[in-house]
Amino acid sequence: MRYRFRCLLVVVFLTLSWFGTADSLLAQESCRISVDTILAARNDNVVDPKLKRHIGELQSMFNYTSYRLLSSESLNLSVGQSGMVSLPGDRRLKITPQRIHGSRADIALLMMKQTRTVFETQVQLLNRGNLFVGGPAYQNGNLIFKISSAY
Amino acid sequence: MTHPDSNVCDEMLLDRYLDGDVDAGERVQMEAHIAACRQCRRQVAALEAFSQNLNDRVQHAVDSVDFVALEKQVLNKALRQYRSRGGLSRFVASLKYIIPATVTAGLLLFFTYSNYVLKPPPVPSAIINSFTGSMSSVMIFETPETRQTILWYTEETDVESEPNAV
Repeated sequence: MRYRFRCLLVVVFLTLSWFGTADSLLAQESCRISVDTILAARNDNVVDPKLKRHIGELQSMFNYTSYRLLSSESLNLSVGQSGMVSLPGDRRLKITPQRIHGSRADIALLMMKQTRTVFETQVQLLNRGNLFVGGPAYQNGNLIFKISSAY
Repeated sequence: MTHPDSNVCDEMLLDRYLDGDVDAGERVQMEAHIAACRQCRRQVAALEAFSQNLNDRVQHAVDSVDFVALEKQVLNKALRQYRSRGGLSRFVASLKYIIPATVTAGLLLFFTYSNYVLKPPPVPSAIINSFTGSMSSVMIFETPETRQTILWYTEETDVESEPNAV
């Protein structure tokens, strides 16, 4: 009898785990947003070891030779809560998770430079996925912001 | 152990005498007594006759038994019991462990396969629903293999920017 009860527990646990991963039972109310600031340049061939895992495919698309991690910041934000990340060049990125559904989070991004709004966007970011936002010139290269979410 | 008076009948000694369980002195004593005592002679004769008769019957019964067939019968019965106990019944008994173990293993396989092995084709890491701003250019594209979404823009006032970086 005890053996059968244990088997039943295992079955229930596995079933719940499967449904849990299907995101049908537990609704997420907060997520962790990370913003890595990368300086891409062509003056040398240095690639930050911390970036190698993420940069590999980018290297085949861009003609930069070096990728340096300038800063890394993480925010734990609830849905509807805004967080601000300071970026080089007097830039700020305002991040607001708006909804988490299934494997994606709806996130509003507001990029500002000094007091001016550069762009405003709404993205659906995959759980543990990355959005690379790049372009601004900085020092002898260009900035790339790797924005990722996890929940 | 000798009897003090050989003229007195001693049934226990007589029984031992008939069983051959007496020493030399007792045997001589009993033989002398039996020779002199008619009652004991009769008893000895009756017991010997009974013993002979019993031996004959036992021998007859033993002769009438086919030991080869009996041995075969016993062996067959023992084998049947062994097979029924160790064969099918053992398998049936083990089913109560095999079935739950198989079901659990199947569920584990299904869980592992559906969550870890069966990887869906990559989807864009980010879907851009809306984009507004004051920029001189903007490009949205993704990497070919893992479909990492890239948003590349050039600021309006950014004189150092490199629009041809890609």
